This record gives sequence, C-alpha cells and structure tokens, in this order.
Amino acid sequence: MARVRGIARTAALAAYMFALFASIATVGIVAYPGSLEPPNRLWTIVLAIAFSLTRLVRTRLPRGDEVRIDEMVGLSALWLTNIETIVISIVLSGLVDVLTPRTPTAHSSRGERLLDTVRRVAVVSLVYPAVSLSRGQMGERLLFGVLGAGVLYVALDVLAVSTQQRVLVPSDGPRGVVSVFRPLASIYLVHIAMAAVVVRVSSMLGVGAFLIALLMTLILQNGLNLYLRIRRAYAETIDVLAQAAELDRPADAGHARRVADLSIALGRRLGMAGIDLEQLGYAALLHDVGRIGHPEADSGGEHAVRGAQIVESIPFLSPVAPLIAGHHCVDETSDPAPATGAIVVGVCSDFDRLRSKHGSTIALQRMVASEGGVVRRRVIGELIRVVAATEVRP
Amino acid sequence: MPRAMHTYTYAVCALAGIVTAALFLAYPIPNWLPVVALLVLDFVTENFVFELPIAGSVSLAFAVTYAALLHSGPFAAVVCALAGSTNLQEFREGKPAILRLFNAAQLALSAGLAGLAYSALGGTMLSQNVGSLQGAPAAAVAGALVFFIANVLFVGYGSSIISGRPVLEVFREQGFLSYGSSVLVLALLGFVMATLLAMESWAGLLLLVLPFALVRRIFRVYLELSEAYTATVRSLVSAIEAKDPYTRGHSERVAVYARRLAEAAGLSATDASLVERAALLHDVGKIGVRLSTLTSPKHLSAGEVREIREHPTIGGDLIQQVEFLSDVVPVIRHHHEHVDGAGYPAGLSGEEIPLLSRVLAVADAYDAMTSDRAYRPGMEEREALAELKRVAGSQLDAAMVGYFLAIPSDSSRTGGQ
Repeated sequence: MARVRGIARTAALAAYMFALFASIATVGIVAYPGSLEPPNRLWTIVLAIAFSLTRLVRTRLPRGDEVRIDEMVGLSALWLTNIETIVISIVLSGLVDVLTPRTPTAHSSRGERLLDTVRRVAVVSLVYPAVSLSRGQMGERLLFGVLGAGVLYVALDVLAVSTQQRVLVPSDGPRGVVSVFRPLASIYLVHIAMAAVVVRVSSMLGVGAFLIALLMTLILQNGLNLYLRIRRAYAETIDVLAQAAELDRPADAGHARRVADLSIALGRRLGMAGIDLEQLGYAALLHDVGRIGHPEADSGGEHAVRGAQIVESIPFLSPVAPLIAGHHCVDETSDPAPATGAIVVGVCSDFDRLRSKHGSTIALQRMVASEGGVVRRRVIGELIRVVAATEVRP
Repeated sequence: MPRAMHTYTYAVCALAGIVTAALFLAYPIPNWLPVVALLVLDFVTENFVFELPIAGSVSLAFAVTYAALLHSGPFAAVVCALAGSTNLQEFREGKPAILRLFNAAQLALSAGLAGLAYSALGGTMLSQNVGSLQGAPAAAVAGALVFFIANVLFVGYGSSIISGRPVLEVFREQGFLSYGSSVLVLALLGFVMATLLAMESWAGLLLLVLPFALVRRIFRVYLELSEAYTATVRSLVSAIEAKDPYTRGHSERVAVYARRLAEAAGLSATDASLVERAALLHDVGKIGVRLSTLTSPKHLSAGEVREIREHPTIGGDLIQQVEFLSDVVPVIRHHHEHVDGAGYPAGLSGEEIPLLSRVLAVADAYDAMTSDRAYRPGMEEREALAELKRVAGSQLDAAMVGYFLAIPSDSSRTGGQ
C-alpha cells in the first residue's frame, strides 16, 4: 500500500514537472517572436538581486509551508525589460537559493528550491504573451494593463504553489487553492499595485522607480507578515493549550483537534466564513476546557457552562464563550437558544466520541437516530456529506 | 500647562505666520487641483488609518507634505502641513487646544523652512518643469532633512518644556533618531507621489497610497494582538491550572518573579519578556501528571517520580508546535537542571544550562517554597531566602540567587501581590 502511494507520488511529481516544462516550451515556441534578444546587463543584475531579496520576506502559511511572493518584481519586469533578462535573473537568484545553506527558519530542501525556480520561470513565461498583447498602451491605460496581467500572474502562481505543495507533501489537511490564496490576498494586492505604479512612472524615473517600489514592497510585506505571524501564534497557542488540557484524560487525546477540523469543514459548508469560522475553530478546540479538574463523567453539560466562564474572561476569546456554553444543547428552541456554531461543535464532539468507540459507520447511524431540533438535523446532514467525502472507504 | 509652553507656542505661531505669508507671495500655487487631491488623500489617511510597520509613528502626512513641496512648491507644502495637522481623533480625545495649535504651527513652520531650503538650493516645482528633478537632487534631500530635523527640534523642545526635563534627555528617550528610517521611506513615497501628480496619473496615485493605507490598518490590529498575547496566554494557563488548588496561580507568580529577577540581573528587555512567557508556560507539561500524584501528601513511588520528571520535556514538546514561541522551548525544557549536574531531564551543569532556565529555576524554587502544598504549609519569606542561599551553587545558579536576594523585599520581589 505504502509502495503504491510512493509510486503515485512520484507520478504526480513527474506530471507536475512535465506541466511546468511544457508550458515554458509552449510559450517559447508559439508566442516567441523569433530571434533571441540579448539580455540587458543592468536589469539582469538588478532583477537577480531583487528576486533574491524577496526571499527575505517570504511568508509562512498556516500549515507551516513558506511561500515566496515575487509578483511585484516579475510583473514590473515584464514591462521594463525583455523576457530573456527576466528568465536569466530568475535562474541566477535560483542559484543563490540553492547554494545558500539551510537555516532553521528556511527548511526547504535543495530539490524543492530548484523546483521553485522552475515554477517561477514557468509562471512568468505564461504571463508573458498576455503582456506582449497590451504592450503598446500608454498613459492611465497602462495601469489597467498591469492590473489585468497581475491578476493572471497571481492566479497562475497560486495554482502552481498549491499544486506543488500537494505533490510534494502528503496531505494532512485542506491545501486547496483557496487555503493558499486567502491569507496572502493583501500581500498580492500590495505587489500588484506597486508593480502598476512602477510601470507608470518608469518613463520618468527608470530603474530608480523600480528600486524605490521594491523597498516599499518589502517593508509593507514585512508588516503584513508580522500580522500573519501573530494570528498564527494565537491559533497555535490555543491548539497547544487544548492539547495540554487533554493530557489529563488520555482517552481524549486528539479529540479537540479532530473536533476543530471537522467543525471548520462543516461550518464552511453551512456558509460561515472569515472571523466566524476562526472563532468556531477556537470554540471547538476549547469546548472541553471546563472538564479540567473535574475528571468525573459529566453528561449534563455543566462543563460547557464552566468552560464558557473560563473563556469569557479572556478578551480575545470572549466572543467564543456562547459557542462553548451551548455545545450540549441539541435544540435551537431551548432557552437560552444556542448559536448554530455551538450546535456544530456539539455534533462534531458527539460524533468524534462515537467514532472512537464504534467506527464511522455506526457513529453516523447513531447520530442520525439521536434526537434534536431542526438545526441539529441539518448539521448532521452536512456531517454525513463531509464524512463520506473524506473517509477512506473500507 | 506651563506658561512657558504658551509663550513658546505663540512664538512658533508668529514665525509660522511670517514664513507662510512670505511663501504665499513668493511661491503662489500654479494649479490648485493636485494640491486639493493631496489634501483629500492626507485627510483620509490621517483619520482612517494608523501606525506604519516601521519604527516610530511618523504618519503619511509627512509623505503628502513632501510631495506637495516637490510638485507645487513651498506654499503648497505649508498648506498641506496645516491641513494634515487637523486630526479628528485628537478632537475626540479632547487634546488641549494649545497643543493642537502648537502642532499645526510647528508643522507649518517646519514645512516652510524645508521649502526655503529646497528653493535656496535650486529646487523647482515638478508641475512647472515636467519630468525631472534635474540639477536638484541635493535640494530634494535637503528639503526632506530640514523638514524632519525642524519637526523633531520643535517637538522635542516643546515636550521638554511640558515635562520640565532637559532637552537632551527628551531626545534620548523619545528615540527620535529611529524615526529616521521611516522618514527616508516616506520621503521616497512623497517623491513618487509628486512624480505621479506631475504625470497627472490620478489612478496611479490611488494605487500607490492604497497599499500603505491597507497595511497601516492591518498593522494596528497586529499591535493590539501582540499586546494582548501574553495576557491571553496568562488567562488560559491560569484556567488550566485551576484544577489543582495547590498550584493555582503558581505560573503567574513565577512569571512575576522571573521578570523581576531578569531585570535585576541586568538582562535585556527582550530576555525579560522571554523569561516571563517561559515562566507562564513552564508547567504546561505537568497537566499530564495525574492529579493524585501532584497532590499526594505521601512520599512518591519511583514510577511517580519518573512521571513528574517528564514534565519539562512534555511541556517543551507541546510548546514547540507554536512557531512564535520557539525561543521559549529550551528555557522550559531545562528549568529543572541543577548547576551541579544533578537535575533533569538532560543532566546539564553550569553554563551548559540556558541562562534564562537558570533565572526561571530560581523564581520557580522560591514560589514552590513559599506556597502551601498538600504535604506541608508554605515557608516564611525569610526561611525561603535562607534556603535559596543554601542551595546556591549546587541546585541553583549562585549569581542569579545573589541578584534575587538583592531585590528589595518591600513587596517588589513579589510584585505587590
């Protein structure tokens, strides 16, 4: 079985690399005007340094992968110089990447960094035809040309990055295109806007405009990285403390995290997004925090009330308290009425305990047979769909 | 408000008035439209967005004023500076009128002086001389420098009058120099804004300012979140600890002692915060040790001792999952090492033990001795200190114990608890 999976992984990697090289070759043959232009020496040096600098502010995604975002450099370069120069400078900065030793913070292997370089060449090659179509534009229309190409650039880059992650690392959670794009949206916006400005003022300021905008982009992205880092710190800390709370009850090990993963999947299907989804995740992680110090079985839901009291006193988490308080209510018409999120957490928690004891199939049957109000029925309906989609069939 | 501040404010106002009037006559604004556009941008960014992710809190107003100077000349810069000083936030917060007046006057005067320096060195308006700062890069640099330095001097002297402390001391404390880096970035931003204005690229101007506005807004949330982080961890940890009446509040107290000890030992502010965080989380691995073991009044069996000895490792492994706390992991892992090598889990000795672990060990031992346990009541402070002295050099780091003993006992060791 493991061997089959290994072969499948190698095949996926080969297909991915083939796609990268094929797109480079296709653009090279179909869209290329003919003879090679000589690379511009000044721009080669400037761009190679710029591409290397973008590595300093690479952004870490929630699952620990690091992404280097270089849209501003690649995009503005497509207007400022020829494609030969860009490809050469990407390769040069790729060499720098491969030759720099691993650091504790940059733990990608040399092979991965090489693959990164090929990916970046492929993405920029695919944007190139679109840019050469709109090259003649002047004035304010130039801005819109850059914005359009920027959207294409980002779309291709996100698609390639998420594919590469899926191919390289065996999946342990959601890794779709959306999960890559969502946290990085503001960074992409900064890059595209700055590239547009560079292209617009380059007729007056030349290389200087590019260097100024590069400096600003790096500073702004660094600010956004700090923000993403502290957000991740909160999520990871709460996860760890929830695990610590479970150390007391070995039978529950991993319960909170499984409930959180499932709750978020369900919440998304029920139309939750953004901050609501994030709070649902925290509620799920902490739903049993009231059990600490009360190891005796408690089916009446007193631990839910205790947990909500604990969480209520923490400013960052106080909005989560009602979701914990109501997670043992099965009926939305009871008083006080539980939030939908609370019912989601309750369903996921019940299901996870049943599954640990009896396996998925019987657990689902019991969930369907259990009593509850309209909202709970609906949540259980979604649960069946989510479990059916993710569980490995026997 | 000291009388001297009023006098100072009126003097600055008078000077600002004279300079403004002179500039109005000498450098009339050729076209008001770009200046109005800058004013609108300035008003919006000043009132709806906040800090920048670089040192200091120099606002975007600097960039806007500088852009006005380069594009439409010294008088336009003064107009932008005056408009930029009206901040709705300050009105709402009820900042004294005299301070608001002073702020407006000093900004106008700084901008005016910058404009004079710029023109004196041959700087021209980009709006008149489309496309270049040819011959005037020195003027542009001088303009930015004069604006920055004049602003810092006026504000520094003003706050020295208000606080009644020497000017030099104010400068050192306010860290005005660290604003330098942000001023460089903002000056470059102003330069690009002026160029876009000269090209009449309104959409470009918007695209340039949008990312800055966005990042400032997000960065404010970052500042709030990072300030609340330690408080959040503290609440969660105390909630988890509450299960055992004998250790309730332990981590929080150890955090207070550890921070004070780090400060008394002359460690950096970063290290003091680091050890405080480590102390808050140092017993996270103990939650796994069965309640009965922790509160047992009897002697422990070999198995139970082994179980207790695992807690620094368990805690370290847990905390390792939080990337933000990676600096804290070794401190937690080694807080039960003894300087003579008899501790656990690694049996490190002396300097091999991380410095902050040695700090944490002293704080932890002191709190363990002074609080009640199932098998004994807590010691008096005097007894506990004597005991610390006794184990200094064998269990605990002698130097750290020395610093701890030297903390005056009038509640500052215990943080006024």
